[in-house]
Amino acid sequence: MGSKDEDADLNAEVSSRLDELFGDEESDSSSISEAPQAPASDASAADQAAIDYTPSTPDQPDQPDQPDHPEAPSPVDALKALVFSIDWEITDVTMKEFLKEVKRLKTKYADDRISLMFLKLHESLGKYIKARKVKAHPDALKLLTSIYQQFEKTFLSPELSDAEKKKMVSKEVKKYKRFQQQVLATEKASKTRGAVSGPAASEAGREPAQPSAAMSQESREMADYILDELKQTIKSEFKALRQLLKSGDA
Amino acid sequence: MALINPKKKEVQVKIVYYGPGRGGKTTNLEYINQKFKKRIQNEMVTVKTYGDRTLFFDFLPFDIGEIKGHSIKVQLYTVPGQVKYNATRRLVLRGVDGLVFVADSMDLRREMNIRSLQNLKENLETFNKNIFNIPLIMQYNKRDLEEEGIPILSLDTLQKDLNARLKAPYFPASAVKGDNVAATMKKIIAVTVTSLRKKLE
Repeated sequence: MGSKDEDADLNAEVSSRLDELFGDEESDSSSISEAPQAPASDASAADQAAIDYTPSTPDQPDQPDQPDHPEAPSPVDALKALVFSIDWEITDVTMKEFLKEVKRLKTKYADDRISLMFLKLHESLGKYIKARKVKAHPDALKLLTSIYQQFEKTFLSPELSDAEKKKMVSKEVKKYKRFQQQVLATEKASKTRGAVSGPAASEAGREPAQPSAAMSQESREMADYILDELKQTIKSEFKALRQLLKSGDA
Repeated sequence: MALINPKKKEVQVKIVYYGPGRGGKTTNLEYINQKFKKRIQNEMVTVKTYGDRTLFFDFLPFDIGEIKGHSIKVQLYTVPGQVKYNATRRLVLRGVDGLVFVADSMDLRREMNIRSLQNLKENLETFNKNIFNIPLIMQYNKRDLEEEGIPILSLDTLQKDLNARLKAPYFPASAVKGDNVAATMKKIIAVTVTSLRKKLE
């Protein structure tokens, strides 16, 4: 118990110092919820068992606890979430969900030519990204976001005329065509480089495209940086250990 | 393991922000670095890939002054969250004293949160550390997405998925807005330094 009091004292001292340094500047409006839990070190033996992280009822869609949306959900909310998700990480699951959602919307808006065109752009780009994944052209995600944003505008801005919507979709189609040409040019260039560099490259089965060359240089620099950091970390740890040994506290 | 220099009475505390890719770990440090620039007075070191995703780690060191006669130096690290960088994550975890698990509240990221936490547990085990015995704070980030109509996991679900047994203190947060970012940092530092009390005496 004595040690718990001492812990509490130390905690209070540290917290007070941190408050002085970092203040109470941020808003606490989004409820700061501290679980009034025992410190991790007091975990019981039962808690020492392997963590089973099977999510609770994974098959059941999670009912949101926030029923108080002031507006009705937009029909493209799911698509928006998927576009965000792709931007963060391209996975098979996300791409599958994305193409499924696009297909669903295409059926729903089959009579709306402008929406259909937007959705076809989503679909084409989605298939490209799904096939290429991390090797997709870096502009693919930017283009996808742009197409989505324009598409969303056509839903959320009822004041837009058909002519304006047509203009918006034409602009995105042009962007998409330019992007296609960029991708073809890049792939053509990499194939040419592959032929010039000879059998070694083709044996490796790699595509020596421009982005890869840039990445490997970056990777080399980063590797050098990391090695330096590692060396310094190791040096400082050894230094501290030597000092500990000298002081007889080992 | 905290680096303690008994002669200089210095303690170096390593805190790692862990979690799935794109969950907000780097954003946490960027916010702290930006908001408290004058107090921190150190540069944040970030190594990023082309594409703006953390390849290796972010590192932000600062002093919090003297506690119990020891000068406390804090080092905040983030790890790359993408699955393929496990070796780097393990490297950064070496010698960790305190952890912040930054979970992504997006509904679609539920499985990634769980896998990332499992990965953390496994990586700690390679250093003979037990996730139950190390200071840990959960941060449920991206709560602001709810305002944009993006489906997010409820706090209850996040707690059940990630914190049912760990029972760590948790903060709902929005790193882009700064909500509870400093609070999370202050809490992990306090909990970590407290855990080192015996070494400070």
